[in-house]
Amino acid sequence: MKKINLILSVLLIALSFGFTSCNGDDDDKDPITETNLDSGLFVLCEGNWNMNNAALSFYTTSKSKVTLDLFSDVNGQGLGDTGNDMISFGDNLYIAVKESASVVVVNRKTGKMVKRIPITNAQGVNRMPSRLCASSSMIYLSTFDGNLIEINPITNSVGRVASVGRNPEGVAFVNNKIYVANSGGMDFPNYDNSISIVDASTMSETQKLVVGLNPGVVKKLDDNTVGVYVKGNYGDVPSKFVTINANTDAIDKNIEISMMNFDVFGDKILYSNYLYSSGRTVLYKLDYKNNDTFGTMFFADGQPSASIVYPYGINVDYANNEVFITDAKDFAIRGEVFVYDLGGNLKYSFQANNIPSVVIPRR
Amino acid sequence: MIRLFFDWFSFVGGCSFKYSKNISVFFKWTRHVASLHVIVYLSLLNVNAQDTIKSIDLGEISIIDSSINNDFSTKQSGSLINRGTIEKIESSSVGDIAKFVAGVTLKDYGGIGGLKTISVRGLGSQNTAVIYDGVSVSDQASGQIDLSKFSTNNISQVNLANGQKFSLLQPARALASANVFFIETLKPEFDSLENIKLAIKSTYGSFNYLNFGLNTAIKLNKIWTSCLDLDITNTLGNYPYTLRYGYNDNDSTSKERRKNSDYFAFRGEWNAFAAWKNKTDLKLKAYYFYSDRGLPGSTTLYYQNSKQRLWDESFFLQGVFTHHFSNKLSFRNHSKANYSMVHYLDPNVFNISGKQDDKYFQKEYYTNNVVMYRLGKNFSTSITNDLVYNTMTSSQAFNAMPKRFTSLSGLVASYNNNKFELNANLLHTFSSDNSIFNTSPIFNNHFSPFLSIGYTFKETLTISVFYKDVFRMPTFNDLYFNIISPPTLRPEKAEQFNLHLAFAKDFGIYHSTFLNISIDAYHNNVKDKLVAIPNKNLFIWSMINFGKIEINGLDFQSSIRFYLPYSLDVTLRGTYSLQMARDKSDILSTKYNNQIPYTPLHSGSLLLSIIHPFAELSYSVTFVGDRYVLIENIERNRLKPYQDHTIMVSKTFELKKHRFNIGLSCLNLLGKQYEVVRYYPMPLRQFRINLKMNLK
Repeated sequence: MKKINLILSVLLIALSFGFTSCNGDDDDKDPITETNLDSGLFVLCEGNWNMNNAALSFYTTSKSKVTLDLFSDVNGQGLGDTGNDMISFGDNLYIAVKESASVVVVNRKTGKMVKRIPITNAQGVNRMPSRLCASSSMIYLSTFDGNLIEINPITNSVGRVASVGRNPEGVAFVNNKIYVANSGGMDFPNYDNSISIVDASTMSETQKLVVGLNPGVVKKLDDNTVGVYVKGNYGDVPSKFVTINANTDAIDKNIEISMMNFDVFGDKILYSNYLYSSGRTVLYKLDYKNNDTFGTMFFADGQPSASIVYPYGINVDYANNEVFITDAKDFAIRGEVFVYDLGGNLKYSFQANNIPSVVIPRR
Repeated sequence: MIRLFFDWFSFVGGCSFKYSKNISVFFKWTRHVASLHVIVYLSLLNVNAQDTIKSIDLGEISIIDSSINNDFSTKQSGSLINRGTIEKIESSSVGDIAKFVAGVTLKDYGGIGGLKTISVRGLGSQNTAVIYDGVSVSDQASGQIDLSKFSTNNISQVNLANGQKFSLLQPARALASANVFFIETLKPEFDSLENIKLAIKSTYGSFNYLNFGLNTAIKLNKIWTSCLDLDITNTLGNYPYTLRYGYNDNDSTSKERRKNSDYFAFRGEWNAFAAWKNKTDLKLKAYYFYSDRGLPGSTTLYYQNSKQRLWDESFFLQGVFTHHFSNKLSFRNHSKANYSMVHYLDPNVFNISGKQDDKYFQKEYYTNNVVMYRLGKNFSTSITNDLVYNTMTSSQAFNAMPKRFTSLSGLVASYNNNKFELNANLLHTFSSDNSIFNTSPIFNNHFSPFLSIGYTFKETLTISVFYKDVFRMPTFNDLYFNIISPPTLRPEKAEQFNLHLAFAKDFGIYHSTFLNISIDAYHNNVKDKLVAIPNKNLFIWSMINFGKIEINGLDFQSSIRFYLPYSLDVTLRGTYSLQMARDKSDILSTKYNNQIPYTPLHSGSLLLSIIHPFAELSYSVTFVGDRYVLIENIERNRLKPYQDHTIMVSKTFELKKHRFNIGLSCLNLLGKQYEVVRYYPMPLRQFRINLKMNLK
């Protein structure tokens, strides 16, 4: 045993040496170039999970030139991890960056960051910013922790918080109410099936409207109608497109259809789909008001697209005769943005960063 | 000095609060070890009362495992790192040693508890079999082996065989992978006067790194030897690093400290060796490993608050039994029963329960029988068969409960007249997969050939070639436990071609100047490569069939040992690897012909050791060139090259016939920030002190 005591005491002596580490690295200097942007297109690129490579690309129309990461070039810092959604409000863009727990406010004229609004709860835990929408005076953000958050665009600070359903995704402001899609995606396969309807004046949920399993995208179709894409469970429960009457808050249309994404196309919707069997991309105009069940082909030649690998985002600028389809390719490489006219003729395309999702024009 | 004291106090403080549990476990085990020793000593005194316990051997518990050293042919493409070299590299695990093997790319998620896996010659880590004392370590869930689990305290050698080892008495699993990484533990050798050995090593270093290892061996009688090996590691791992907020050189940075990076591990291993009349021998092993660690996650910009934890536990029993019936006929059996558990917890998940708390259990039952028959003086053949049964269950909602039965059968032939050597085998793989999602079992059948021919000129220059065809089944995670993966994964197929040149010469100028050089040129073809990308967290991966990869490369390794005046014994060892691993899946894609992720074009290592009777010095460098974190070889995806320098000085002395060795080392001597995996920063400069004792 004496030996063992010796061993232990030697070990304890060895323990009592403490060491520390030195570090040395270069410091930073960062001249921000302040030039006004030309007219063009802002493209939010989601980026790859855990790669901190969310980006804001900018396409200058007159020069047909892309700045792949405008935000990082102008601000000397990356946007963050997983850029989930982007909207335009007044002079600014609002970008929800999910893993980086922030909403980033970017000036539309310069690309300069106005503010990074932290989106964490009282314990400092990331609420996970999801999707954005706006009224005439307020920004609304759904967060994956089951809330809808008000952001004041004048002060760029977080206001009231309304509790909604599980893992909310799409949001839309219609008729002084916010419609929030509760996906319940974190409990796969036990999805949620409701839309939370939040009264904008009291900022509290007034109703949970059951629409079907796993609602995802929500958009304002017109002043009285909300469109919802209900994804189903990718198995026995099929996906469908649902419209809600914003005056009665009752379900109006229920069209069994499968899609990747959609946007409002005049009095119709334009939706994209990826055909897994042929690996081709199709886009259809759906006249939901007149009980259309499938839609008519969008592309002018009536064929699936030969160039779009994987359709990800759709943004329609109806007034300016432009449709933007983002192509995420295989998600590991840089994506592409395709610009069509309303007749489905390709005008031009350009490269963007990884997983482009939302296109907002700067006219 | 102030910082020094600060660290010491923070350690003491840490002990009393956060780490009290680990420390108490540590002391519990120390007590346990102590009591074990008393029993061992007493029993020895009873059995061999006439022998006084004394010993002449002052070195480490030495190792000579004839079955390994003798069959490592010079015509074999590969690399061997022996105990002497391992001791010259400051290492906390076998992962740190693997960096010094040509052709190996180590993926290291940073810190002591960071996952460390190897990929060889541009092939995924699942293509390298890891064989621990003769029997493969398998993980059907991920298919890859974390080398950070294997401490170097009791390792006698590591050996990478490209293709496979030229051995007739080995399990079929050792023939089934593209490369085989052998880890051999120390086997005691006793002289006539001694019958007990005890070696203790303790290390303390930066960020409260603590390692305690104990290795004891007892010669019970003329037949049996018993060994016990215990190892404890604990660290806070809260090292500082610089966080960079972009890809451009002038982007902003901030000074941070790694959080939730603590690690505690215990390993206990018992080995028994028996030999009867040079004809029969038996090796038994019982192995237990437990770890508890924080998963710090990637350094997400603007928000870092990982609270994820991982516990893993594994226990196995294995045996290798060999019997030589005659000079012509030999038989060997390898058997193993393995249990492992992984427990993952993320307390901040926005699901109904508010957390992700999953446990995964795996079991494996394994047996191999191999019979070797010598047909002529130089011509031998063997038949080897492995039967494996794997199961996996989980507490997850999608518990597929997969079960896989695999039978591997190899017919091996070898001709060797010392100058000319031919090795060939045909391997048949049969597997049957079942899960609650499958209505009927899924069968797989595949034949894979191997052929190698080599010739040695004048005992110094060797030339050899090999061809190998490999087939790899998707793992359980690939098939059943992935949320994001596509459901239709195809098996991965690879072809390997290799040309090996080796030169070895003993010049004998100053007695035993020795020069060793080898160069390998290879071409690998991969179809339907399965690539893992960490998804959601480090524990759940998503898999994709990457398409086609073509890999062309060179491995260069050399070592020279010479003596200089003033009794200086100098060894210099160097490796260099060139890996051109190009994506060839889609000619229209921007990724076509791009270097695949995390595979450096250039990498290498240098190890210089100078031994003087007064003290020893070793200096090691590993360098890794540009890598890309995603398949597109653009600036945005580029990881910068790095060099990692380590210096170690040690001194051996005797005190009352006990031998002590005290060593000081500095890791990442230049203090440069680098990443092996993007956003998983590696520690900056660290210091370690270690004390080794060989007691009697």
